[in-house]
Amino acid sequence: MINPLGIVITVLYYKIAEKIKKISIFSKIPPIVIAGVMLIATLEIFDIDYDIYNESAKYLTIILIPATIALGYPIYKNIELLKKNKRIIYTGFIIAAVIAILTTYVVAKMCNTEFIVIESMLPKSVTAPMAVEISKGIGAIPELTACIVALTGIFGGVFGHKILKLIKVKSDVAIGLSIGAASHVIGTARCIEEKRESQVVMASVALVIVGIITAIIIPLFIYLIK
Amino acid sequence: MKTIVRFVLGLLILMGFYYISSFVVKLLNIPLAPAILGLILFSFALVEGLIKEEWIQTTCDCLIKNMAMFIVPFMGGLVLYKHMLVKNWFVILIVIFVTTTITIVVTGLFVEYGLKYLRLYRKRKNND
Repeated sequence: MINPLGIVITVLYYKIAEKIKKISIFSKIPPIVIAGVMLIATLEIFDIDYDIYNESAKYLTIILIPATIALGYPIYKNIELLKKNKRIIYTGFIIAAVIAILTTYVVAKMCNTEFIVIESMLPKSVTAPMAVEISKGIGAIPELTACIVALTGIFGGVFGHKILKLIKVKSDVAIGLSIGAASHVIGTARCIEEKRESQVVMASVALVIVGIITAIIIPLFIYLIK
Repeated sequence: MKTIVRFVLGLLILMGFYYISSFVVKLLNIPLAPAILGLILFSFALVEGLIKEEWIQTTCDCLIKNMAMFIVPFMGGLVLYKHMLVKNWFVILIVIFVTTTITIVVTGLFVEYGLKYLRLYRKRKNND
């Protein structure tokens, strides 16, 4: 028999977090972070063992598998956009994936970070479900990856548009692609606020395709440096 | 009732892709997460028309809309790795700031000027 408590708490916290996000001062913080903080606080305060919680909550994380595969649907819906200017767009996807991985490795290595932490950081620009799958695949720590992914998303979501404005990048395709590629769903959500359709579409396609490219490159990259 | 049947049908299709991918990954011994291979195969199947949009629409929309919720348990898992986060918080912040900025800047500039150049090139070609 499945103990439903962990599932109930998680869903409840997430729904509360979605409500909190509607309050203006919290509007920049994604629900996943609010719910995560609430969950960590609960586990700490009531001294609940994570394994006991996860015994129940793991049934929720299993859904990540079909959810990741479901991302094929937005690709299919926007396939026309991908066919237009495809050389530039695909090169952009590859550049974003490669730069994100290389710079992460170099900067982390320069700071003398433990290898397992570096490994967990590598998929940080990818949307969390995919990043968790990649992290598991290379034997890193999925929990750490999920946290770093969320932080990266927040950074890109908050500063992405400002950075691009500073360097005078103006086309919606360029803005959507770079923000979606570097800061996944959270950056994409920020593009929705800009109310530019092509920015949103480009960002959501970028986050999926850059995720796939990253998922292919990271295992090869680790194989090469090990 | 119809919605539930549709949802379950879509879910079965998605899981089907997962099992096929897991099998392929194991058979060929490739270091790719099965869910990612499943995503690639699923996109192909949709584009090639092997799967009809109506079959999976309900399930995909619902799963994607709630995707962030399924990550929350992993955030809770951080309690197990508290020491790692505490020890490395500075590196983690530096890495996120520096690398995300570089990625956004380089990709943004490339696509912006790539598209501009392409437009100019096409115009010139049309004028010739």
